[in-house]
Amino acid sequence: MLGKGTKAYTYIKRRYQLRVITYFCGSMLIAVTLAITIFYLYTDKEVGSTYYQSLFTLRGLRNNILSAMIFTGGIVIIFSTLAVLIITLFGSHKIAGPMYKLEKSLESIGNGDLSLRIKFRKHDAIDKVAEDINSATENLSTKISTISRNIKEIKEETNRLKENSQQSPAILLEKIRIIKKEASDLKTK
Amino acid sequence: MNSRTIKMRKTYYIKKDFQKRFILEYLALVFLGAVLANWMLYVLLNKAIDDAFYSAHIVITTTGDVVRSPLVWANVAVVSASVAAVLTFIFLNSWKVGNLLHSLAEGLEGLKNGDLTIQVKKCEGHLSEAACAFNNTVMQLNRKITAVKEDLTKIEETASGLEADRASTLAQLLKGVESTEEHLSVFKLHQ
Repeated sequence: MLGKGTKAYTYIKRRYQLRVITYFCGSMLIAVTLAITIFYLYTDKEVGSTYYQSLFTLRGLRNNILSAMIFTGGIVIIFSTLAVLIITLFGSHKIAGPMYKLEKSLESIGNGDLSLRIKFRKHDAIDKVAEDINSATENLSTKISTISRNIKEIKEETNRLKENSQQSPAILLEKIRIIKKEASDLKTK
Repeated sequence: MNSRTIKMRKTYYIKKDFQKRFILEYLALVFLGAVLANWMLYVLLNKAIDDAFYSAHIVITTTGDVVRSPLVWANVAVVSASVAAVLTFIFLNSWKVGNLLHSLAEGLEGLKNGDLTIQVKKCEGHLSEAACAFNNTVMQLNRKITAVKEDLTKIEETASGLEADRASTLAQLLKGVESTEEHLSVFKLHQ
């Protein structure tokens, strides 16, 4: 039974969340370190020994800020885009893959395949839902198996009654009552 | 099908919309961070250069002295903002997916107990396909079991006439039983 306090986000593995966060923060730190280093090296110059030389160098720095920023930004954005592409591609795969499999499995179950057992890959982020589906289909499968077995018994009993006109129909009627009760356990519209 | 094809299927059968959206959100975050960093850096650097004009001959020996402080501050601010944004994005995405899976789990709990009327309410919007697939599954199972139940009701009604006309009632019963078997045969059951 699902508790009222069961939090929605617990359905995604904590370890997966932590790993994605760590990768993002790590790549961000690398990008920022890279940005600082490149910008610093690009703009660092001696200002000169006189007051006028230093003013002249500072004016040059002001004029160069934009180009330095574009140069640094360009390199960092290329690096970050690559990093983000790799992280999100692999990160989303762990959710998008099982989601696809989940939909396909539900389709098969709807078509009556209650023997289906979903098994996600070892590192997929949403494996708890697979356990829930497997448990639900197993229960349904057991209920329907019982009905099938009983309907076979009813068939055999009916044939016996046909062959032996003296036999009492009490067993058959009891079996019909039982199977009706079993079927009523499945709530339908 | 060889093992390579199976492996490729395992790798590429995924929900592309979800993946595309996930990637675009994070790329937007990176670009936003870069724009913010550059804007802050520009503002801070201009201010630092203005200050340096007045104290150049006393304080600084290289332009690095001017650049260092704004550079560090701008990036610290952007890293803090980006970390907060990444955490928000990841928890928001996890919450969205987790919320859907939670409602699916509730539906599956009902299904496990034999409730074939249960429907998941999240069958709308982004990531809703799994919820809609669940609702369709339950509806299909509901139709199949309803057919079986109708057969059983007919069998019960027919059986009540056994005392009056045994031979024809048994023939009708057999027909009913065969129809039920046919309806049950659509299920592939767990061994």
